[in-house]
Parts: sequence; structure tokens; C-alpha cells
Amino acid sequence: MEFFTPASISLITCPRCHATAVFESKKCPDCHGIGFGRMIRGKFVYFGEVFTREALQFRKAQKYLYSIELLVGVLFTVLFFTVFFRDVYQNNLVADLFTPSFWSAGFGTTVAFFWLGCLSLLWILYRVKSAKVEKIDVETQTFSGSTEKEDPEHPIGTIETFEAVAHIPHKKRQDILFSYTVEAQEILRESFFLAHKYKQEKVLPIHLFFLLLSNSKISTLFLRLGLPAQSMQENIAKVFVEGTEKSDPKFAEDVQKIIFQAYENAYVSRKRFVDVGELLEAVVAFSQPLQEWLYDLGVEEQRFRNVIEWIRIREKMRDQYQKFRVVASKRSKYGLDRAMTAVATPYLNSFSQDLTRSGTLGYLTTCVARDKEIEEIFRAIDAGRSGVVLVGEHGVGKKTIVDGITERMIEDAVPKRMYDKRLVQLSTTALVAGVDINGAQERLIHMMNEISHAKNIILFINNLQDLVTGKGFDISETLAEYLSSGRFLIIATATSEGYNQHILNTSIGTLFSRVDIPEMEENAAIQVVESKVGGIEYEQNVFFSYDAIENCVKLSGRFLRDQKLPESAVDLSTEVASFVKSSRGEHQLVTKDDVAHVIGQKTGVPVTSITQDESSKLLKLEEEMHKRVVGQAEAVSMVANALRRARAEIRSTKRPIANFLFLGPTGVGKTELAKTIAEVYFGGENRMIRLDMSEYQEVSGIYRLIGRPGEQGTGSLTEAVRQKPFSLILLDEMEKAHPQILDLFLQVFDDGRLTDSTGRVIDFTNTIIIATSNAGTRYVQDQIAAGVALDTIRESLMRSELKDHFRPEFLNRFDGIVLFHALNREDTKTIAKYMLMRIAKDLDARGIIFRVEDTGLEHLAEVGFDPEFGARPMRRAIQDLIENKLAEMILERQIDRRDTVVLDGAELRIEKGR
Amino acid sequence: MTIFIKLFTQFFIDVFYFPVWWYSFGSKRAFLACTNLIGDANGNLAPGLWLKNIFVPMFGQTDWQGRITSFFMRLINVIGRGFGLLIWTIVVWIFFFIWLVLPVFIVFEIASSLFLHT
Repeated sequence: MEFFTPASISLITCPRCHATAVFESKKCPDCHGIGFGRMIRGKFVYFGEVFTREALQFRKAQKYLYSIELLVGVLFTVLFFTVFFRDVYQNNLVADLFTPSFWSAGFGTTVAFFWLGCLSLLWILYRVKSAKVEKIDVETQTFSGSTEKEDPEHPIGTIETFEAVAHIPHKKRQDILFSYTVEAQEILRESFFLAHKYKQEKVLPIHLFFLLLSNSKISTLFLRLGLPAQSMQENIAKVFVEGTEKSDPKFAEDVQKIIFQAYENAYVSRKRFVDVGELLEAVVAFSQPLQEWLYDLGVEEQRFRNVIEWIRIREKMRDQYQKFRVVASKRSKYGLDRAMTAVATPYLNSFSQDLTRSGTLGYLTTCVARDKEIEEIFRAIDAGRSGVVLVGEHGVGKKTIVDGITERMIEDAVPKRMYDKRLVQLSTTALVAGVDINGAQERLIHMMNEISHAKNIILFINNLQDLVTGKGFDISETLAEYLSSGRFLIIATATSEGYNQHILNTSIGTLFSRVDIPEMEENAAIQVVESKVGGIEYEQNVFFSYDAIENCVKLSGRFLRDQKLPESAVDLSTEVASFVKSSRGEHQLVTKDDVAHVIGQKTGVPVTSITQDESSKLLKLEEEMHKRVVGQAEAVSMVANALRRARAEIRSTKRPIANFLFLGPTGVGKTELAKTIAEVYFGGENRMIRLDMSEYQEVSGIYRLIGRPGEQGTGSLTEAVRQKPFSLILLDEMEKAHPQILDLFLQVFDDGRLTDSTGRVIDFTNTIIIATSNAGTRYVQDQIAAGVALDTIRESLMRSELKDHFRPEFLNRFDGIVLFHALNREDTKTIAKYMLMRIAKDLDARGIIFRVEDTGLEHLAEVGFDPEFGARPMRRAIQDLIENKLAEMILERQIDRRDTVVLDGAELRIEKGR
Repeated sequence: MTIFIKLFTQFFIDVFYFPVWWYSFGSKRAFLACTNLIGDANGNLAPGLWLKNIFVPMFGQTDWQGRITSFFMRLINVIGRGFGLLIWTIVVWIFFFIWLVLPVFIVFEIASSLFLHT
């Protein structure tokens, strides 16, 4: 199992000191105490730490020395000042303290104590400040991808000897030790002692991994993956075997590479320092056995990366917040620019909200994984467009992107045109409140004048399409007039539908530069949820596992099609958190099954992982279904297989769960089987959408199916599926529909979607579609009677009989064409039994017992069996022979509670109870 | 054992390094801290920005009365802010000067109080 392969790192390692930087207890003369290093981005990079036992122990001891020195400083300070004040007090010199003569004459030793105290204070200052090592930031990436142009003399990896290194000027050398956080540095040092403890010749990645597990950040990370770090450590410890090496362990080449790879990871993810997360990523990347082990524990590459990203997002958010607070505090509270050239906008203020102001107060949503879109918006603005419109569906995060822009405006990380400006959101409801179109236009004109006068305002209009509906209410012309002057900038959002209908190709549409905001892809959405989940965890006091977050995104992407990612996933995670809190209490782990459970409750579709109980039930699905459907073994097994595939998630999620064509004469159980499926898979017969296709014999029927053009909610099929996306669609008598209507279903069967008359895409991927037909029934029955094999019949049916009704490409798209047999006498008897059981149940509710003698059943079979019409005559027979008579008996009060009604032959008699 | 000798040596190095650090890296840090303080004050007071916009009318008042008023207003601001920045700069540099002089002064005072006055 391959995780990611990092780009190869070509190191140079000093052969004399074996990369320890020390030779015979002195600085290695060959490498000048560097040990190992590499060339990258025109710089020679090395790790300036000496990894010998002596050096590391000394470093440890030095820390204690520093503390002692500090303590001594404090003690002396206290001591000297105490003596000084004691002298002053004892000699009654308090009054003289503020006279120059006290300091200049006479009280030599007393004054000396004061100054010695001061000197000790300076010592404390020295000790604290000089021991604090300045951290060096990891190089920052510029937009072209690297900090510097490649040095032509030393491109990547061409340096081969330490002699060449000696010629590299000092400013082109970089010690990355101080770009490591203290925690990460400690792990490298401790790994040396760990290898030494087990008398190993080399420090290996596994040693680093073992120590990383002790780190609180990393153990939380694995806990989120459902792996307790302590038990992982126990398992790894079993692998450690005591070796025989007596001398100090050396860093294995992989570990040396890990040190540089961790730095690269920090560089690529634009982190300031190399932390444990980067180190862990590098360790796993360079250790094949670790990767295998993690894979066995269910940690795949993408999951691993997303969890590492989780730590990063949290750290970044904290860093940014701190940085942001400082910058935000410098902005004007009164909406003015710093040069005070701007004009106050009291009129606009009463119809709007100042986003930059709410931003400085900390009311913005954090914008994650949208850098690309923000860059695109900035490019459009930089190019001089007077407006940008973000086009995307509800819930894709358009407003959050605007919040991201606001944040950058506050930090001044924006194009020059947006520098030192206010982003003001126009409240569309306030604009139109209480006035007609003329009033709104007047207000708008007033505002626009104020904005162009103020010069420091960027206007933001959320849902631009609401102002440009074209139905009597249209202020686009007014907007366009002011926008075209280019005196100010507008950022707007619009839904795709609204943009296409009302904005595109209008005067205002041409002024705006369109930036599409697509629905987020899964990994980006996971990152968004990761960034939000901290707040949810804090509020609900629960703890999310990584799987839960992943499932939130995956399942909402699949089942909550009405909303878009990431909003749907964020909403779902909030819901799941409160579900866990209310069902299990606080301080609980939110698992993947909790998410599935909530989705199951919302949609009625079982998505939790399959339990033992359920899997045995699934394996016996045929038995279950035969309790309702008599005979038709082939049909039942085909359907059962499809349901098993769907439940075990072995199916394409881009198509409907299954499409079947049920062929067979009337009354043989086609509809009954469909009802059974709805019951078994969707949890109820009411989950069935039934369309009688004989009503769609004209081509105009299309509009009844998908709706009349421009009118929402008028399609009988599309609207039903939109409201109940998890259902069984039963298309009765399919052969009677108009051929063009059949064509409509081609794409439903193939892609699982259908566009309705208003342009909305309706999702069919969570439906089971069953078409029934009795075309070719006579032929089928004749062939079966002649003993021809079912497959052969099906084959010839598709080639001949069905061709008259359906086109081959239509037939081809079914997962299965299921042939139903005509019922024989035995089948009819079983059906009669089931029907009588229902009557027995009804009577039981009235306290009456119902018994059927063999003779009675025989008689029913005699009367109710008709090979031509299946089970329907049986229903009539039961109605005539039993139900009618029973009704009479009940009305005539012949039967009391505890009586038994017996069907014996054609007769229905009563046995009186006690 | 060697580690104790090393630590012992280190202790003496630390003691002798005290004045060296104070006038090299320590002074550098103090200097940078001072420039940062001045830089921050400049960012907050921004007399340069006011000077740059001295002829630009404030609050968009482009009529001649507005222009005159705003010119004088800006002039006062430039002077006031410039003066504020100057004072701040002086205070900060005094601190830096204290940093430089303090150890010498203290040592001198110790020596003089112990040896000159007794």
C-alpha cells in the first residue's frame, strides 16, 4: 500500500563523522560541524544540532544550569535589596534617600548594596533574554512558488562535497533547527536517547513515530481517527528489541531526509514553523512499514492528510486570529479612511451594514479553502472591472467568501483599489420596505450619490437577482447607470438560476465580471467542517471523530441534495452533535454511525454500517420477500440481489439504485413485489411514487411529468421525486407511454438525473425505478408452457416481441428484465392463505377467531383460480364467499366475542364460544 | 564527570559573556525593539500621511471654505502629530541610551561607593 511518495531528497552526508558533526570529540574537520545537508531553492540547508550523547546530555544539563543561574540572580537581587533597605531602616536614613548627598557621600557600603541589587536585576534580564532562542520563520512562498530564483551555480541537489559547501556564502546557508518548534526539536533529541536505550545502531523513523505518539497534539489526532495513542505505543514497543550496539546511535538516512521533508511540508503549507504535525507527515512518508501498519488500522492516505490538515487549520485559525486582532484594532471606528478624505454616509448607513466594522469586532465567518476563488475576484478587480458577481447555488459559501474578502481588506492584503475602504452590505429588505419601485429607486439614487461622494465604499449586494426580478420590480437600470461611471466598486452574489434568468445579457450583467463559485469538492468541504467543528464541539460539549466529519460530508453530499456542500455538511454536523448530546450526554465521541443514524432519520434510508443482525436479515431477504410475494422465485432473487448491493454500497452512486422492467400477465404480483421493495428498503409502502403511464400516451404528457415551462412545482414526476428523493418509482403499463416520454427516461436510467421545466436538476440516484408491462405476455406464457429456458425467452423477447413497444437502447438500460410466471393452482392457494390471514387478523381485533378447514381452502382455489387473470379472481372470490357473509353476520349480531368462524367447503359457520 | 567540568566552564563563560552580550546581541535587540516602537507610533499617528494629503479637502468638502478649513486643520494635525511622534522618539531613544549606559554607570557607582568614599 503506497501512501504519498515525496520528491526525492538528495543529501550530502559527511562520511568521516557519519553525520554526527563531531569527530573524536571535536567539531568534524571535514564538514565543519554540519554533518548533513542539502541544496534547495539556491540555499544550503542544514540542521544545526549535534547528535552525540555527550552533546545532547550537555544540552539537557545546560537547561538546568540556566535555571540555576536565573535562580541565583533572583536570590542575589532579593538579598542585596534586603540588606540595603535594612541598612537604611536601621540607620534612620529613609529621609535621606531622596537627597543627592546620600548617594554621593558617606554611606559607601549601603549604596553599594543598592547598585549590586540593580546589577543582579540586569543579570536576570540577560539570563532570560539571551537563553531565549530567536525562532526563524520557515521561508515564505511567493505566488511564483519559491522565495528566490534558483542559483545557477548551485541548483537543487548538485552539491556533492563539503568542500563545495565551504564556498557557499553564509547568507546562502540556512540552519533550520530554529525553524523547528521546541516540541519538534525535543522529539528529534529524544529519539536519539530512545535508540540508545535499546542499543540500536541507528535512529529509525519508528523511534520518531513512537515519541510523536506521546505528544498531545498527535495523540489527539489519532484519537480523532479512533486510535488511542497509548495502545499504539504499546504495540510499537513490542517491536523494539534490545540490540548489541555499544557506541552512540547515528541518524539513519531516512531520518535525515525526514528532517528536511518536515521543513518542506511546513514550506508548502505556508506554516511559520515546523511543528509535530509536519514531522509526523514526513515520518509516515518515509516509512513503508508504518504506512502498511496504518493502512491495516484503517488509516488511508487521504484520511491521514485530512486529519493533519485539521491540526493545521486549527493552528492557522488561532495564529490568524491573534494577528487579525492587532490589525483590526488599528482601523477607524467611524468608517473613515486614515487620511480623513472620506465623507460620512448617514443615509446609506441606515440601509446597510458595515461589514468591515463587524469584521473588526470579530463577527466574520472564517473562510477556508477558497483562496483560488478570492484570487480570481481580486484579479477581476485589479483589471479595473466595476463589479464582480459571485454566481453559485445556495449554500456553496458565497457569503463566506465575501467574509474572507472583508478579512483581507482589514489586513490590507487586497488590490490597491480596495485599500483602506469599507465594505458595506446593502440591506435589500430595508431598501424596499414601505415603498414602491419609484421610492426604492429614489432611495438607491440617494445612496449611490453618497457612495460616489464618500469615495471609500465598496458596496456588497447579497442575492442581486432579488433586485432585478424583471416582474415590475427592477432597479437594475439605476444600478447600471451608476456602475458604468466606474466611480465605485460593487461586489454581488447571485444564484445560477437567478443570474441566468435576470442578469445575464442585461445592461447590468455586462458591467459585472462573473466569478463562478462551484459546489465544494469533498476534501475541501471536509476542511471547512474541520474549521467549524471546534465551535460546535465547544457549544455541545461533544468530541468529533474524523470519520464522523468525513461521513457528514459524504452523506450530505449524497443524500441532502437540496442543499449544497459545504453548508449541508456543516448543518448536518451541528445536528449530529446535538443528537449525540441529547441521546448520550456530554463528553461523548461523535462517531460515523451517529451521522448515519441522523441521515437515516432524515431520509428514511438505512445508511448505518450493517450490524450482524441486519446482515443475516439481508442474506435471507428472499425469505422475507416471499412472505408477501408468492412464487416468482427468479424475480424475487433478482430484486433481492439489487437491494443487497445497494445496502452494502456496491453500486454506482451516479445512477438510480436499480432499474427493473417487470414483465408478466396481470395479477401475478408485479405491484405487490414493488410494494414489498418499498417496505423493505425505504421503510414503508408510502415511499412509492406510482405513475400510470397509460395517462401519458400523448407527447404533451411530458409537461405533466416535468412541469410546464417556467412554472415551478408542476411536474408530477419531478416534484414528487424532489420532495421524496428516497422512494420507489413505479411506472405502470410502461408500454402505453408515448415514445418521446420513454426517451425522457433514458437519461434518468443512465445518469440518475432529470432537468425539470424550470432548469432544476432533480436527483434520481436514491430511487429504485420499476417499470411494469404486459407486452409480450402471451408469448412468454406460451414459451414457458413449452418448457423453454427463461434466459432464452428473455433473449428472443428483446429481439422480437418487445421491439414493437420499446427501442433497444431503452431496454438496454434496465438492470434486469424480470419475467413473471402465470400463477398455478398451488400458488393461488398460498395467496388465498395470505389473504385469509389478513381477515383472521381483522377478526382477531374484534375478539373473533377465524379458522379455515382444508376443504374451505380447496373450494376457494376451485372458485378463485383463473390462469388468465392471476390472483385477482381470488380476491373477488374471497370477497363474495367470505367477506360479504361475514359482514352480514356481524350486522345481524350473529357473532359474539370468543366465537369461532369456520370456513368449511363453501360454507361459513359459527362455533359458539364459552 | 566531564559533563560537570563542562558545565562548570559554561558557568564561567556565561558570567563573562554577560557584558559581551549586553553590548552586542542585547543592544541589537534593544535597538530593534526601539525602532519597532517608533515604527508603530508612526503607523498610528501618521503625520506623513496627513502631510501628503495637506491640500486634499477633508470629508469631501471641496468648496473653497472647506478647502481652507481643511488645509489649516491638516496643518495643525501635521504639527501636532509630528510633535507627538518626536516626543515619543526622544523618549524611546532615552530608553535605549539608558540601556547602553546603565551597566557602566552601575559598575562605576559600585566601585565609587566601595572604594572612593571609604
